[in-house]
Amino acid sequence: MKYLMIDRSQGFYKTDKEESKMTPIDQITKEDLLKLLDLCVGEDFEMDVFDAKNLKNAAHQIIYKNVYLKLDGVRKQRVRFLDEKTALYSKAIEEYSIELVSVDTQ
Amino acid sequence: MKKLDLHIHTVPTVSDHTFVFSMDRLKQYVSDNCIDAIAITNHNLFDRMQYESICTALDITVFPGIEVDLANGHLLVITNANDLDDFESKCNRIYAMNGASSKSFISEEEFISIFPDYKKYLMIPHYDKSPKLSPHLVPTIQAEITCGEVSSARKFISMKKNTDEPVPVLFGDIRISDPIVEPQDRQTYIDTDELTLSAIKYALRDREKVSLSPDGGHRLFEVLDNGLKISTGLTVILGKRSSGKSYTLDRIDEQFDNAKYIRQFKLLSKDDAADQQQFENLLRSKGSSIAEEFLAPFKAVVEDVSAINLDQDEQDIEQYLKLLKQAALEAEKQDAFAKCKLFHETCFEVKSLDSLERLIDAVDLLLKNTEYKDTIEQYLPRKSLLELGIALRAQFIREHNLGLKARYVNDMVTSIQNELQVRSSNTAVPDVDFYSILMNKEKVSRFIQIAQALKRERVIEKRDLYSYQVIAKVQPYAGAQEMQRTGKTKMAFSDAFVYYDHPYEFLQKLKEKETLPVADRYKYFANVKHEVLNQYGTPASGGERSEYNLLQVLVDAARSDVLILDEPESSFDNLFLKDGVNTLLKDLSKKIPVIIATHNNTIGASVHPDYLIYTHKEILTDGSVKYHLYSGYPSSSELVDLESNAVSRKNVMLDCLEAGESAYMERRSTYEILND
Repeated sequence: MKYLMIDRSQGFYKTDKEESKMTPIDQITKEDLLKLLDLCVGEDFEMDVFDAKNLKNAAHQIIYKNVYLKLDGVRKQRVRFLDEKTALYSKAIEEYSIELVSVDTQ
Repeated sequence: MKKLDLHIHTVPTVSDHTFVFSMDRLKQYVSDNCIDAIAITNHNLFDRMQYESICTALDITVFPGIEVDLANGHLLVITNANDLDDFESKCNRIYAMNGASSKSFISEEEFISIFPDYKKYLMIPHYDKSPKLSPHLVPTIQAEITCGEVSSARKFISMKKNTDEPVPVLFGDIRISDPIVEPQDRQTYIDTDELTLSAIKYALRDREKVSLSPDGGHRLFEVLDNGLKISTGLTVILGKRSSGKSYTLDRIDEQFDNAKYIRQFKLLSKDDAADQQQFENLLRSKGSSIAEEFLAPFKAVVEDVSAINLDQDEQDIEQYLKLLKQAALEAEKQDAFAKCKLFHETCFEVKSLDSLERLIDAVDLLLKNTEYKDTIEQYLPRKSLLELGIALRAQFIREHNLGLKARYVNDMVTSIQNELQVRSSNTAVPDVDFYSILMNKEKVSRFIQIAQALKRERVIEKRDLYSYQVIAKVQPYAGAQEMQRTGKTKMAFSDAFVYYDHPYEFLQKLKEKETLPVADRYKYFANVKHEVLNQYGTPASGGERSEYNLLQVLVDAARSDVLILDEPESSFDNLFLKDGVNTLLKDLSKKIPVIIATHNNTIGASVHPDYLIYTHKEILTDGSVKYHLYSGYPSSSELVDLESNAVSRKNVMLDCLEAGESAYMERRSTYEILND
């Protein structure tokens, strides 16, 4: 699923898989950015590669380039992220998730 | 320690092979083996003339005795040397019944009819030795039997360790003839200084006082400059009030750097709430290592999550976006500096190589392990592991080099950007670490999950201490007051407690408390409580808490150089002292010297001390006060002071522990009446 797209020399984005309509990149908010951040480490995440030649709008060019490079940087570390996520606090989770001797609270 | 052989045959009977007694060989046996006392115990007979000639010939203590064939077993009956007339006539009656046949055994009833005063003798049955005297065939006299003869050193050692069995003794059971066949090391050492029948009977009530080697028992050592000695085992100090007991204990305490001194009433616990709280604090500090061990993984999580500020992350993104949009707006009117490509350049993401390093370590671990080498190589051939190790290292070098280059370039880019930004009027887009922001969100989510699991109510440790059970329990905090107790602080937690069910917000509140040590934040997410339960599984009462305190102190005392207890009976009842404390004190005295001042017969007598000290205050005719310190073995007839004055040991014990002989006799008679 494409979340960042270049169309007619303009940059667009969306944060909802079900949403068919894309929003111009200059309308992006911080909430949108956080959502894209979550989405970019998922399985089905695609973006149009940044290419200054295809983005004539200078403002769009700056925003698209920055957001694209940031998400692409994280995307490239997706495997590392998933590995780290799996190992995250695993000792503590293992320790406290095992049910020890139960207590009769009465 | 005295070396004894109380089972020697000097007259051939129907139960023996024929032999001719040799006085010279007896002398040689006693001298070669350095024996301090013997008993002459022939089968079913007592030869008084021969006994007296032996006494004349030997310069050691010789007890008169007899080995009686009783209830299909053998029983040694030994008496005092001044009891010959009575003993001889009784033995003659035994001989009349048993003397003619080795297969003739009298019954317990017949034995008691001949020896109605059997309690005065030292009786030693064949216990783990043939022919064995079965206890159930002699139920009446069994109550007076404290020791049993065994046939080998191996059995002696095994029986000495088993507290359910009588005190073991190993004797020669030798026929003194020419030539003599001497059994090796078949004598028993007894911890006593006197060789009287009563001293030996006393010692044979306590398995710690018998040994197969001279260094098996306790020894005395000088503890005070005035020459007072105590035992390396258990010393009991007796004496009336104000006779100098506590003064003596204080002085002994001063002699040791690492003494455990439990003063009178110190462990007494009451039923009030303050006392209960104090007890809980004690348990908490005692069990702090359990809590710390349990919370250690969580502590690491809290420390990591404490560094995260989600609000700040959000603000960073907000600022980033604001400046990004600002820069975009200015896109058309960029100055010469902003037109440089590096002005809007973002830095390279530098990849962490942590996981690769861990992988290399894991491969190294597999390669270096020798314990499970065969199993590892069965599945992972060494050659493949070596190749993997090399390949991973090559990858590490490649990625490390890339990382170094990226950092170098980033430094340059940042430096150039800084200079361009200073000169440009256009807005620069700040760098934000999206990866960290994403990971922070994940960390907080995991932290919330762990914090909720952590406080689920459960028992994390159960430990038995005699009849008590100490449990460490995890449960959620019920209120801010409990948090205060955990922190041993007056700091208010009520503002934070409001967020207790929302771990991340709760942590932010804890972070706001500047006086709360950062390293202690983890303690406030789950309450680790310690409880002592009695044998019925209910929380210990005031008295029971005192008992637990004492037991705990005694267990801990093993790490001290000496244990000093001043009148423990002032805080505890007799049953607890007898069943709970005496065994512990005895066990402890095998490791360190134990000194107890007491008035209580449960401690003073039933614990079977190794040495006695008696303090006495004498008012002299001129009105001045003189303190005496008498001491001696509990088996001795007398206790002697440092100026060689003597007092009767029996009188001291009766006076100090039983309120005098008449009171003791009256009590005894009362119990006998009640028993009837």
